[in-house]
Amino acid sequence: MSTLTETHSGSTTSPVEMTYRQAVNAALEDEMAADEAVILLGEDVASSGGVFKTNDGLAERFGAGRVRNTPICENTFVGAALGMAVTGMRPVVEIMFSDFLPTAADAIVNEVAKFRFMSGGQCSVPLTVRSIGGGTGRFGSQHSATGESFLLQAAGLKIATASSPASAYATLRAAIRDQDPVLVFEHKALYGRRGPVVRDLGAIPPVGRARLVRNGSDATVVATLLMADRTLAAAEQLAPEGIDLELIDPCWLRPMDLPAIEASVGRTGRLLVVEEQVHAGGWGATVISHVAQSGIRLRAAPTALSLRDDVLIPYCPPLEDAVIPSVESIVAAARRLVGQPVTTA
Amino acid sequence: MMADAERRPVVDDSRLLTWLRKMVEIRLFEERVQELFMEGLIQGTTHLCQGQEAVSVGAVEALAPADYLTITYRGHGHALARGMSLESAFAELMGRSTGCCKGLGGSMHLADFSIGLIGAFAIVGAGVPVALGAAVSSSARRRDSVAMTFLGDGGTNIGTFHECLNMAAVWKAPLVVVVENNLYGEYSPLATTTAVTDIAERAGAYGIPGVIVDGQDVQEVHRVAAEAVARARAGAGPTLIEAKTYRYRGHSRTDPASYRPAGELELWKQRDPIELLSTTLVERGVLPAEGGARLREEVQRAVDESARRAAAAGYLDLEEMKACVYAD
Amino acid sequence: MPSMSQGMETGIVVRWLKREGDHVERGEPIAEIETDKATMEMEALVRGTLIEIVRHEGEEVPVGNPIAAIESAS
Repeated sequence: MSTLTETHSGSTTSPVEMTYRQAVNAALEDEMAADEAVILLGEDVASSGGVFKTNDGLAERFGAGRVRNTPICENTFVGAALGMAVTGMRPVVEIMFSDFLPTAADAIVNEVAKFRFMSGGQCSVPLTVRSIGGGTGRFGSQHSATGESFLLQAAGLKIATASSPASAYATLRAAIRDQDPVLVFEHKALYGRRGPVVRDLGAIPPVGRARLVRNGSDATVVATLLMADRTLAAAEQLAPEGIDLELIDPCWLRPMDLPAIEASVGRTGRLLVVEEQVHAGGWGATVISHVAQSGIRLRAAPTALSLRDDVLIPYCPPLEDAVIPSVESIVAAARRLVGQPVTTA
Repeated sequence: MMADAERRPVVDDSRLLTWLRKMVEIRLFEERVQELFMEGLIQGTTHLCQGQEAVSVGAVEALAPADYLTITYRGHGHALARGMSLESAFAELMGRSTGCCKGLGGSMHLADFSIGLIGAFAIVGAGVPVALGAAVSSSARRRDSVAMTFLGDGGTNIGTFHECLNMAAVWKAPLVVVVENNLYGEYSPLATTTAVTDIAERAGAYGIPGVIVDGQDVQEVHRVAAEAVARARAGAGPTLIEAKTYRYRGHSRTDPASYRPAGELELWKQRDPIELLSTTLVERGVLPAEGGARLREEVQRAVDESARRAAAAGYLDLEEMKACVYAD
Repeated sequence: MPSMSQGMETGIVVRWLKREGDHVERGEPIAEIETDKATMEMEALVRGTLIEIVRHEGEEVPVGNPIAAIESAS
């Protein structure tokens, strides 16, 4: 699980340029076409392509029986999806905003995650829950969490994040194909990003495989979702200064590709995690903990760049921008880590 | 909307005897579980259903083999009624590898996919959406399976119960929801936590039929459940059944049920479901005059033997257990 | 002294409901036992005669220790 690649050999399909939103739509469409057990459910999923337009055309192509609008009752429709998953279906549930996941916390933590285990392995739960999260949209505290670490403690779940069109397509298809329950986190600020997508099941990396976004030698940066996107921009800004960042997008938070991350840190000797969440109890802390336990010789102490102090996301636009790691703050953190002077605080 | 005994369709005698045997099996199983707990062979906690046997047997017997069932942590009766073997159930409660869930679930989580028992839940109300999902799955796959779920009176106050009735009604899901109203939600009498006296009234809020039945009369329970199952299978959507019943024991093993008024238990024991059916069968000449004494002895021997075999089995090892977390 | 709840280490005999020489049925309450959770009735595990009371009212007894002897009727 330790070789990283962005694109995969073994696929004869050419990559197509599309947006992240279109990539999600393509993954859903290709899964629904390949397997009639795949069924979508959630609030407004069938209404004009869904609130984020990720489901465009699906109800028209596959019918109302396979793209179902639910009432507003997350705990119940996730629980119902569990019942479907153990009786021959492969449901994909959409939670409109990742902030709403706690509304379904019981169904996810106590039922979905534990179901196979409590049954002594009698069933598997091929269920996917997609949720859309993240800040910068000025949506306020209850519509801005990424949610990616909310359920990290729940063994029995797999958790994935999508940071680019290619990884959105690949991760979502891998999640739907997997026999276990997977939470997939998308970021609303990434929907317009363009990138190449290989629309082929054969091109999809295995579950748990991290993505090497950028090769580098001075420091390993681990980042997900919008932070991966911003880190890439920061890396491009730092390259002419002679600071060469290696960027790893873990893609999967559960199970996480720790061998790949550790191998990279072993080469660069420096670790920075960039996360759009508080540090406590998040995946960033898990990465740093594992690197510390591994005994890898480091050239500098590991650093976490998280939400500014222990805050929540405000509505106020300049304050929202101030609390979420920006390209500038990532540049400054990388400079500090590599030992360079920081020109702005 | 009390069920009408005169209009009852005829169930043949051998079937009634089967129901009697099942109820006796549940009663004696629960008694043995109590003893095994005190002996330390069953640990943690357990929730017993003596007094409520007619509800599990009557309703579960209305299901076809391909139908689905979800139950609660007070689910030993439903599991046995559905056809789980005594040994599999005892072994599960004792944590043995020969238990239905290899000992990983325990008393509150009996499941056996081979008999359509797709889950038992410790979280109040959690079984209702899962049954709803199985019902929706059945229609989506163009099968004619029905899903039945059981919960207690207390469970009808939790959000998901209401959400499920609404969604099941809107989607016309082939779901039957059976509420066992035993007058207490854990230690609290119904009136202190629940805004209605008859749970079946709640069905009206979701535009579905709500039926009240005497939970101590297994024939009545069966009649009402069979009607609801037939409705569901015909595509007419969900039904809420409220069975009025009573639990002889406390909520769980550590509850002496001292919150009950004096005499209440004795009053309900006068309508013991096993006695009621035995009396009917003796009157009809199906059971000899000594009633069910011989049947009881036979079942007791089977219960004792199953418990003994279950206790002789070993436990899963850690590696085998780890294989049950993820499928892939 | 039976294990009447998970983690119970001792129980106090609050009251004997039967006397030496009494006949008891399987499942019949024969004593009240106080645990740290609640006071509960203890039932006879066999049918027979209560021939000896070993521990008396007010005594605290560890789980697993004998508190009475019943000669079972076969």
